[in-house]
Amino acid sequence: MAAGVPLAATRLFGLRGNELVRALPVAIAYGLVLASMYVLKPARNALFLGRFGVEQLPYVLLLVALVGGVSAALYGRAGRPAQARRMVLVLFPFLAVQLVVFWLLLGDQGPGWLVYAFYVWVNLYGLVATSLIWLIANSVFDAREARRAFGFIGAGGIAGAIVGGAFTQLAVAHLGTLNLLLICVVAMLVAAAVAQLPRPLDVPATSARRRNSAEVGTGWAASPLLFWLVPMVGLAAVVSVIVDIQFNAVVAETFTTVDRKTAFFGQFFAVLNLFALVFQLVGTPRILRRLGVGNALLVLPVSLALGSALAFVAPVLAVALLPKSVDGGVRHSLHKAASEILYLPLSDPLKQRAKLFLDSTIDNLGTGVGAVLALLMTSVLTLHHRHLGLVLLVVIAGWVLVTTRVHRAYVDAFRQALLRRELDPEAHRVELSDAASIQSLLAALDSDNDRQIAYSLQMLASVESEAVIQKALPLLSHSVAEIRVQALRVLQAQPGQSAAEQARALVADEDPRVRVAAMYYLCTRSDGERAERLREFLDSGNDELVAAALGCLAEHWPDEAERHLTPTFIAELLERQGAAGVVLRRELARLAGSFSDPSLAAREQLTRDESPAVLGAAIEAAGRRKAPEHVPWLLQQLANRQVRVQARSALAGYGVRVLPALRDALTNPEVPKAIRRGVARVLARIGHQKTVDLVAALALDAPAGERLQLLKTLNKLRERNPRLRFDRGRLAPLLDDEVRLHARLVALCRAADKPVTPPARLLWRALGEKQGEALERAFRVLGLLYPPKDIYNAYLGVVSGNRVVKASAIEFLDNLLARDDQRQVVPMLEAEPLPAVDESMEGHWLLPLMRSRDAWLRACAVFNADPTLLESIRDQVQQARRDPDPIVRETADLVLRRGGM
Amino acid sequence: MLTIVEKVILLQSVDVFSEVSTEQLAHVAAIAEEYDEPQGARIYSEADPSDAMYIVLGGKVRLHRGDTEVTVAEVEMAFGTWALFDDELRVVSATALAPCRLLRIDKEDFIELLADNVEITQGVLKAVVGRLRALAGRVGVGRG
Repeated sequence: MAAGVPLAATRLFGLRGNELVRALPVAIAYGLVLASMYVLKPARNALFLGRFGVEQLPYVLLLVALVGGVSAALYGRAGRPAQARRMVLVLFPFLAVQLVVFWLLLGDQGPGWLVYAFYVWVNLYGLVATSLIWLIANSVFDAREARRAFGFIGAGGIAGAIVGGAFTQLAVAHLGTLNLLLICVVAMLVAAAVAQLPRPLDVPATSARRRNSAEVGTGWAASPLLFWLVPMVGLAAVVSVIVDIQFNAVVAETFTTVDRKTAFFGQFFAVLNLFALVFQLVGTPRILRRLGVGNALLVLPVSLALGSALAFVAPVLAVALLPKSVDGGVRHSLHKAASEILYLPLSDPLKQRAKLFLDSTIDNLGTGVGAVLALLMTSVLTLHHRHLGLVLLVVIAGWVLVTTRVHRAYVDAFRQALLRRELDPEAHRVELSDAASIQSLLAALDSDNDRQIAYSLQMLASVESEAVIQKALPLLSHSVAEIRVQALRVLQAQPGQSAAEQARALVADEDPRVRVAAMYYLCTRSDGERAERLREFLDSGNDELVAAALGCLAEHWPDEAERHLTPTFIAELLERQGAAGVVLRRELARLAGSFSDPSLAAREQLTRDESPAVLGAAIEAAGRRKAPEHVPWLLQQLANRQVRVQARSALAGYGVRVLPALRDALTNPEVPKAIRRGVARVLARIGHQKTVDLVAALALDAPAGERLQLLKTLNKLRERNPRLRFDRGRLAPLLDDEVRLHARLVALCRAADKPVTPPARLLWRALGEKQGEALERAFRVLGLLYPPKDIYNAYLGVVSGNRVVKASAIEFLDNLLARDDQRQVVPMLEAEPLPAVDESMEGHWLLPLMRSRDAWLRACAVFNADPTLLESIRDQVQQARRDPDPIVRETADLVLRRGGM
Repeated sequence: MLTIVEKVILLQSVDVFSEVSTEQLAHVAAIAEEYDEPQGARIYSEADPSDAMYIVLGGKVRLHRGDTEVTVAEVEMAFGTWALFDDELRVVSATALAPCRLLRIDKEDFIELLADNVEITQGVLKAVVGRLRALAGRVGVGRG
C-alpha cells in the first residue's frame, strides 16, 4: 500500500525518476496554502456579507485591487534579490503573525474597517503565497519535467482546498469562525518549512549570471512573451471578478441568512474543489499532453464563454452557478498548470519578477477594472447582475485573442533562447559607388597590409581614372605576386599603354600568373594584331613564354586555341619533360575542353597525366566542355584526393543531365565508397527539384552511413535553394525509420548487461554512438520539413549535455512540430521505450545485436559473446565466421578460439 | 596478433582518440602494427624525427631526457602521441625497460587515413580543442 501511492501518482501523472520526491514537498506546501485559503475564504465572505451585504462587494474588490497593486510593487522591490524559498521562509511567518492579530481584533464588536481590511488581506495572502509556491516549483523542474510535475503539484493544491473547505464546514460549529484562523497559522508555518525541502536545479552560474544581467534590464521591453502575458493575465482577472460578483449576487438573492450563506459557500467550495481535483487528476495531464500549452490555455476562456452564454439565456440557480463552477474548477488546475509552463523560457530572475508583477500588480489591476465594470453596469446603468454575462463574453473574446498571441510568443521565446547559443557572422562588402569610396580604396593602396592592397585593387578593377594609374603603376614591382597581377588587371582597364614597358618586363616574371596577365596586356595594348603577338610568344622556344601564351589563350580566347595550336605543335609540347613540361601540359589541359575534335589524342593523354596540376586542369576543361563521354572518367576522379575538388565542380557543371550517371554510381555496390561519397557532394551542388526527388528516394534504401551523406546532401540543397520542395510523403518514412532505430538501440541498451568489462564497455559505447547517429539523421530529416535553423538550434540543445537546455529544446520542438512528428520525435528525445520494439527483443540480448544490419555492432556483439553459454549464441558466432564483413569474421574466429572451438 | 576490435579497445583510451567513434577507430586499428622490442632497446631517441606513436601491449617503456626519467609507460599506456600531429623532433628518448610488445601507428599512414576519413579528423580535432579549452580554463583565458 505504502509503495502503491507513489506508484499510482507516478503512473497517473507520468512522473519519472526522482520527480515524485522533488514534487511531493511542493505539492504538500501548495496543498497547505490552499487549505488555509479555503478556511479563510468562507470566513471572509461570511463576515463581509453578514456585515455589509453584496452591494458593497465591488467596492471591497476595488480596494483589493488598489491595495494589492501598491503592495505588489513594494513586495516585488523587497523580494527582488531574494530566492523564492528564502522569501517563503521570511514572509509566511510574518503573514502568520498578522493573522494572529486579526484573530485578536476581529469579532462581532470589531470595527467595520477591520472587516474590509481582512477581506483585502485574505486576497493578498492568496496571491502572494500561491505565487511563491509556484516560483519554487519553477526553480525545481525543467521545461519537460514541469509538464508532468505541475499537474501533480496542482492536484496537491486542490486536495488541500477540498480539505480546507470540508474542514471549515465541519469545524466551524465547534471552534467558531474566528478560531479557524489559528488553524491557518499552523498550516502556513508548516508550508513554509516543507517548501524548503526540494533542491533547485543546478544552472551554470556564470552563463546564467551573464545572460540574466542583460535580460532583467531589457526583458520587459524586449520580450514579446511578457508583453502578451500582461493583457492575458489582466483579462483573466477581469473575467474572474465579474464571475465572482455574479456568483455572490446569486447566492445573496437565493439564501437570506448568514448561516445559510456560510453553509452554501462551504458546500459549494468543497464540491467545486472535488470536481477540480478529479479534473486535475484525469484531465490536466492528458489535456496538457494532447493539446499542448497553447490549446490548454484556451479551455478556461472558451468554457467560461459557453457557461456565461447559457447562464444569460437560462437564469436558473444551477445554470447561473455554471460560470463560477467552470472558473473555480479549471482556473486552479489546468489553467494554472498551463500558465506556469509559459514562464519556462525565461531566465530565473526575470521569471521571478514577471510572476510577481503579473500575479500581483496585473491581477489586481484586472480585479480593479472588473470591479469598476461591474459597478458601472449595476450602479450607474442599473442593469441586473445577469447582464454582466454580456460584458463577460466581450472580455473573453479579447482574452482568447490574446492567448493565441501568447502561445506564438512562447514558441518564439524558446526559439530565441536556443538561438543565443549561436553566432551569426555577417560578411560585409564595400560597395563602390561614389568618389569617397574610390578615394578610400586608393588610400588603402598605400597600406602595409598586402591583403588590403590586393582587395582594393580588385575593387578598383573597373574604375577608369588617372589617379588609379598613378597608384597602380608602382605596384607592378610589388614583392607579392597577387598584387602584381591585380595591378596589371587594374591597368588593363585604363585607356592607353601606360604600363606597356613594365608589362614587357613582367612577361619574364617568376610567377606564371603575372606572366599571363602581362602577356594579355601586351597582346591587347601593343601595336599590331593580337594574333601576331601571340604567335610570337608561342614560337619563342622559351617554355615559360609558351606556357604564358597558352594560359592567355585559355583565360581569354579559348575559342581561338585550335587556330593557334596544330596537332604537331601539341605533340611536341606533350613530349616536354621536367617542371617546365608540367607547366606546359597544365596550360594545354586547360585548353583541352576547347578542342572540337573528340578523338584528339592529346586530350586522352592529358586525362592520364601523372601530375595533379595537369589532371586538375584537364578535369576543369572537361567540366567546361560537358561532354557525356567524360562522365565515367570524372566519376573515377572523385576518389583521387588530389583532384576530387575539381572533379566535383566539373560534374556539378553538367547539371541534371548527369543525374542518371550519379544515381547509377550511388546504387552500384561495386563503386568504391570514396566515389559514392563524392557523388553525394556533387548532388548537393545541382540545385534542381529532380535532384531532391532522386536523393530522397535513394536515402530511404541506403544503409545508415550512406543515408547520412544523402541527408547532408538534401540539407545543403535546401540551404542553397530555398525554393525547392521537400515532399513530406517521401521524408516521413525516413523519420519513422530513424525513430524506430533509435528506440531499438535504446531498448538494446536497457536489455544489455551492466558494462563492467572492456568488451562490454566497447559495445555500450558503440550503441550510444549509433543512437547519436540515428538522432542526427532524424534531425536532418526534420531540417528538411521545418525551418532548418530552428531545427539545428534545437539539435544543439538536445546534444548539449546540459539538462535544462535539452529540456528547453524538447519543449520548443513540442510546440514547433506537427502532431504526427511530435508524437514520434519527443518520446525519442526523452528516450521513452516503444512497446512494439520492446516486444521484439526476445531471447538473449546479444542475439539481435549479432544479427544487426550494422557491421560494427555485429563485430562488437560477437566480441562480447560467450559461445559456451548458449547454443543460440554459439550458432550465431559460427554464422559470423561467414559474415561479409572481415572484422566480424576475424572477431568470430577469435571468440571461437577463445571458447576452445 | 590482436584483432581489430581488441586494438579499438586499446585505442579508445588514448586521449587524442577520445572523441573518435569506435567504428572509426577500427580504421585507425587497421594501420596499427604490433611488434616486439627486446629489453634495453632504444625505441626512439631525443632529437629523432617524430614518426610514430606507440601503445604498450606488454612490458614497460622508460621515457627519459638524458639520464633524467620523465615517466614510465606501462601496459595500455600510449606514448609519443603528438608525433602524429607535429613535425618537431622528439623531446625525450624511449627505452624498453623489459621485453616489450608495442602497437605502433605510423605518422604517414595516419595522415593518409585522416585525409580519407573526415569523421576521424573531426574527432581528433574535437579532442584537441577540448584539451586547449581545458588548458585555457586552467590559465584563466575566457572561452572563445
